[in-house]
Amino acid sequence: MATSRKVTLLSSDGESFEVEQSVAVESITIKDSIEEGSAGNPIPVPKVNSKILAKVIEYCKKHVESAKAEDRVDDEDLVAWDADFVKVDQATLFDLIRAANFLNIKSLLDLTCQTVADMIKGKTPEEKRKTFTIRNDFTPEEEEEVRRENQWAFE
Amino acid sequence: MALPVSLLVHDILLKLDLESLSAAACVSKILRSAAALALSSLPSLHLADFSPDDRTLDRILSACGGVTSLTVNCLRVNYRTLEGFLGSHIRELNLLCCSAMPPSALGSIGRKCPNLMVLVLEWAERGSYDEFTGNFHQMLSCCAYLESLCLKIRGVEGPEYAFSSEIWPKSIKVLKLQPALEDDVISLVKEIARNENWPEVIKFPSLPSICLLQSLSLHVRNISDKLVTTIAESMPCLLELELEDRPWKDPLPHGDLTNVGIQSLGSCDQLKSLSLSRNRQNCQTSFKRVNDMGIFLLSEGCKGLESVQFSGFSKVSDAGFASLLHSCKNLKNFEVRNSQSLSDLAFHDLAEAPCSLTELRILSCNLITSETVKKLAFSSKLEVLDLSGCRSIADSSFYSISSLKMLSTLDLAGADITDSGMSKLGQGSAPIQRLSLRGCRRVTDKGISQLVLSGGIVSKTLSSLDLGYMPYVSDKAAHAIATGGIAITELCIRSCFKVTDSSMEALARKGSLENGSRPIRRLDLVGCISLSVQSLQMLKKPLFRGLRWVGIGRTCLVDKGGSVLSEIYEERPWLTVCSGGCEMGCRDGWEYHGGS
Repeated sequence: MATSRKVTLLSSDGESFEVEQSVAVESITIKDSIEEGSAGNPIPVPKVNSKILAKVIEYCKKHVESAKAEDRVDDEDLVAWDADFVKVDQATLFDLIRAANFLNIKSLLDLTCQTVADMIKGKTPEEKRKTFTIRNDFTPEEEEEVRRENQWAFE
Repeated sequence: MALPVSLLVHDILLKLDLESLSAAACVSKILRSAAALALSSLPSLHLADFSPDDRTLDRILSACGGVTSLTVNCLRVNYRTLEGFLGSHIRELNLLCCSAMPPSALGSIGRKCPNLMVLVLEWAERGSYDEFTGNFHQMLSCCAYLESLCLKIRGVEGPEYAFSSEIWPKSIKVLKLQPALEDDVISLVKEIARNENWPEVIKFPSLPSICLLQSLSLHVRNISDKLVTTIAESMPCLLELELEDRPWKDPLPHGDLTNVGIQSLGSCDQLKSLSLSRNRQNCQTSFKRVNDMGIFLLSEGCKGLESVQFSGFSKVSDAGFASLLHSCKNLKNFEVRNSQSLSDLAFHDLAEAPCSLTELRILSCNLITSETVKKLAFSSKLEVLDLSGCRSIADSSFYSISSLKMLSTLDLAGADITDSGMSKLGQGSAPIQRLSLRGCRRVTDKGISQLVLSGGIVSKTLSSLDLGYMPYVSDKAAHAIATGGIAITELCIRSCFKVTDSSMEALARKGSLENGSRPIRRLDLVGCISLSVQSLQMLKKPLFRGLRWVGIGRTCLVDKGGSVLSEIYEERPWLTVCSGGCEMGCRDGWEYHGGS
């Protein structure tokens, strides 16, 4: 196996992170830019700040390590690790979604989006508004109409 | 939320179920349009767990224009509501519990959906025999790509339809016809097998059979050797076979299933699933001419069986059943019903043989005791354990049951268990979702409370609980369920005559508290004679949020409910209120609800 190459990633707020190339290429975006040779060194990652980038790197490292592991029993542990990983505040969760989307890391995107989906499930519209602090911007007539169409689902 | 809309729709909203999506539409303008986009790109719609009324169904269908696979519980639906939605885009159509569908609908489905590949119809007998046959033929001739056809017809008298036809779609792989005339079925089987214009060559075993049919299920009046051997000879590549009969009298020797017929099935060496049942509804009879020898020969021939269901084999003993368990190494699903001779002995070697069983059902076999359950502790893959009607099962079974880490369904109806068993179950590691304790007369409020308030695994996973016919279950148990059983959404307290309005109130508020408890969606109150007519008021908004089905038969709510029931219907048309005494979801009596 070739000696592990390292790449440096530069967050939007100017912090650099040195990671193994095998970890960095979990992101298809980064992988493509390395292969095209268009990435400089360090590779700039706009839109993703250092706090989020650190977490993304943590996720990618864990998943690359688990894939290498001989012992496949780790699957259950990985699921548990993932569940802990997403126990963050809402703002961070949405930042992670945006980062996973931009960096094109499918498994992280699925994990974070599923977490949000689970937060949406089973709640009435009022409860959903409360959970995500969303403003009710319907006019009274619009609200009446949309409720009439959908009330079977939650009343 | 400031997420790009396509991300919102494709990665988040499309992970939601239909109801959460519809509720999300009511949150804000952005979510309304995002939800609309998500709904219109749903490829399949599964509305089987509640019976929508026409208005609600129409609303749902108009939002989901991209659906190609549709499953609907049509208990309260007019065919007209569906008709507009059908078209050449429909590939799969499952219409369940069609209590009021005319035979002409069958022809209409054929004409409108020529690209149909899967059709499942549960139908209440209506119209004349000729009407049905004509429409049936039309449907078959229109749907040339049909791969899977399941027609279940139920009626008052137990109708018999002839399904013979010259035009069977060549693509047909799965066929289920319930009920069918035996003689017609024999010619039907030969017609299908002959479909590829491959004449008598079926006699030459060295040539490959190109009969595509993989799965056959037939309910006839009388299973005979002739039927079974015709099937075995015509369709040697069959993967699944289900035969059930319901004789009116004891079959005569030449018209019954014997060891010869059973043995002929041995030539279907690719058979993975076999189900043979004699229904005792019309006559107390069984497969008297099949004994251990037939089963031995079967288990030698069909070693690849993964699923076996035998009902009414009164002459087969432990030796016969055990031979199946040992010969079929990949057996996952094993069911025996109504056997007076099946005992613990059949299972005593189970611990030695590697056991791949995931589903075990032993129904109404009185000789089975907790000893068999103890042997099952080694079957760590077991997901479904059904011992209903086995009266000798006792509390000692729970030591083993509690250690089954994959167990999701447990049915102990009629067992001789007590509160102490419930306590063990509550503290065990079996993540049970569906539990039936129907008729377990020695289990009381105390046991139920210990089950759901223990804080153990079961209290978090339990979603469906059947406490029917338990005389010592009262308000205390209902309150415990309302507070402790957070995942319970389906509850049956049929004939629990001590349950009063207080229980209704507690259950009505479940799901509206902030503790994450889910609301009750299906509730069976049939025979709860201590409920007063006041409790009907609790079926109105905002109580019992999310309720879809409630059974109030044999209570005073039916006679005295009158105007309140109309009010309830007006404000919650999607709620099905059944006054007829049906089991949950009207699964046993939907055919009698027609026209309501």
